[in-house]
Amino acid sequence: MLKIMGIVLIIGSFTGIGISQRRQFRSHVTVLGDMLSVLDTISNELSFHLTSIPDIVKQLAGDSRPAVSQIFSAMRDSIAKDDNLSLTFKWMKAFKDCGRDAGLSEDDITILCDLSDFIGKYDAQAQQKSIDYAKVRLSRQLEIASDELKSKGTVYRTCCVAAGILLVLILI
Amino acid sequence: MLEKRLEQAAGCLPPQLRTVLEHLPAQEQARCEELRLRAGQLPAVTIGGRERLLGDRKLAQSELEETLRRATAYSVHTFADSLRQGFVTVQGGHRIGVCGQTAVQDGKLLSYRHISSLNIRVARQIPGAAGAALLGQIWEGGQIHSALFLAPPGRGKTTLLRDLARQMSDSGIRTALADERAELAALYEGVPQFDIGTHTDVIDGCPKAEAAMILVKTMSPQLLVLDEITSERDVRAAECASHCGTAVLASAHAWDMDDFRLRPLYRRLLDTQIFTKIFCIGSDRKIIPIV
Repeated sequence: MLKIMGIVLIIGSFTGIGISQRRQFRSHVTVLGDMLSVLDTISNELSFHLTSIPDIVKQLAGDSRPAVSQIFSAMRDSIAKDDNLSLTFKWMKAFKDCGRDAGLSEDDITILCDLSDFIGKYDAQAQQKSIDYAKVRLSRQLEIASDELKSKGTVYRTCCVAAGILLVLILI
Repeated sequence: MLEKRLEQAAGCLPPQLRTVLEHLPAQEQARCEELRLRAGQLPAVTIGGRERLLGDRKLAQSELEETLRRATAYSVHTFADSLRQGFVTVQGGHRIGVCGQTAVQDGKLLSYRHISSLNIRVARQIPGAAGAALLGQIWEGGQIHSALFLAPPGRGKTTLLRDLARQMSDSGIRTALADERAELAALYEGVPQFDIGTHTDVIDGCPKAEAAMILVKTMSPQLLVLDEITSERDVRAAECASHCGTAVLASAHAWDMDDFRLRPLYRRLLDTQIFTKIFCIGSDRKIIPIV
C-alpha cells in the first residue's frame, strides 16, 4: 500500500512539474495577447477620442485581465504622484517592475518600454505608427511563444511524466 | 498653502517652482492674475496689471518644457490643436499661453520645438460681474437682445460673458455655450468647473462655428454665448444662430468702436446688424454702452 502511494506521489509530482512548465508557456502566450489588445485600446483611444495618456492608463488599470491591471495600476499610481519624474520613466518603470510577474519575457518588456519614447510626445498619428511597430514586434514574440507552447510545452509535460515513471522503476 | 484658484492654475508647475509662490502673502495670492515663466529669467506674477519677480533662482528652459508637459498631462495629441493656436487650457479653465521656437509647415504652425516662455492666466469667477443694470439692458421686457462686448485682452470679457450666462440661465433662459477654449465653463470630465447656471448646455473644445451650429440644431437655445469672435466662420455662425431666433452674446478684441470699425472681419458683423447692443469694457472695467 505504501509503495503504491509512493508511486502515485512521485508520478503525480513529476506530472505536476510538467504541467506547470506548460502552463508558463501558455500564460506567456495569453499575456502577449493581452498586451496586443492593450495596444489596440491605446491606439483606438488616441485616434477616436484623443484621450490623454493618464486617462488611458486609468482605464487600463481597471481592466479585468490580471496582467493588464497589475502593470497599469502600478503606472496609474506612479503617475498620480506629484514628483519630477517624467511619464517616460514611469511607463518604463511599471513594465520593468511588474512585467516579469505578469508573465512577460525580457524581450517583450523591452518592446513595450521602447514605446515610452513616443507615447504622449507626438501627435496621435505619429504615436499610432510607433504602436503599430510595437504590435508587429509583439506579434512576432507571440508567434515564437505559440511555437514554444506547441513544441516545448508538450515535451516538458511528457518528459516530466516519463521521468516520474523512470524514477519509480529505479526505486522499485 | 496656496489660494485655491492659484493652486489649481499652478498645478502644472514642477513642485520646486510652486514653493516660490507659497512665499506670496495670501492677499496677493488671491489677486494674482498671471504667472509668467521665461527661460533664463526669474519667475513673475502679475498683480493689478503689473509684473513682479519672485525668488532668486532663474528658470531653466527644461523647467518650462516640463511645465508644458505636465499641463498637457504628457499627452501632446490631446492638446495639439490648441497648441497650434499658441495656448492650452488646463483643468479649471486656466489658459497657458506658449511662446518659443516653432516648426512651421505650409505656412501654419505645426509644433513648438523649444519653449521660451509661458503665461499662465489664473481664471477666476466673479459672481455679479454683470450688474443688474447691464442685465436689464440685455434682457428688456422679456426680449433678449443680442449683445457684443468689445475690449482688449485682460479686461474681463470672458468673466463678464460667463456671469451673464449664469444669471440668465438661472432665470430660466435656455443657454448654450460654444466654449472653444474651455474657458467659459471649463468642463472637466463633463462637469463645469465654473457656475454657469442651471439651464446651460456646453460644447467644449470644438471650433465655435461648428459648436454653435450643433447647439442651435440640437439644443434649441434661447441664448447662445460665443467668446471672442475671431474668424469669418464665427461671424457666419452668429448670423445663422440669430436667423434661427437665438439671441447671441459675444465678445471681440477691439479698443473701442472706432477700432472695431477698422477691422475688415467686424465690418460684416456690423452690416448684418445681428447685435442690437454693443458695449465697450473700459480700463476701469466699466461697461459703456455704445449702440
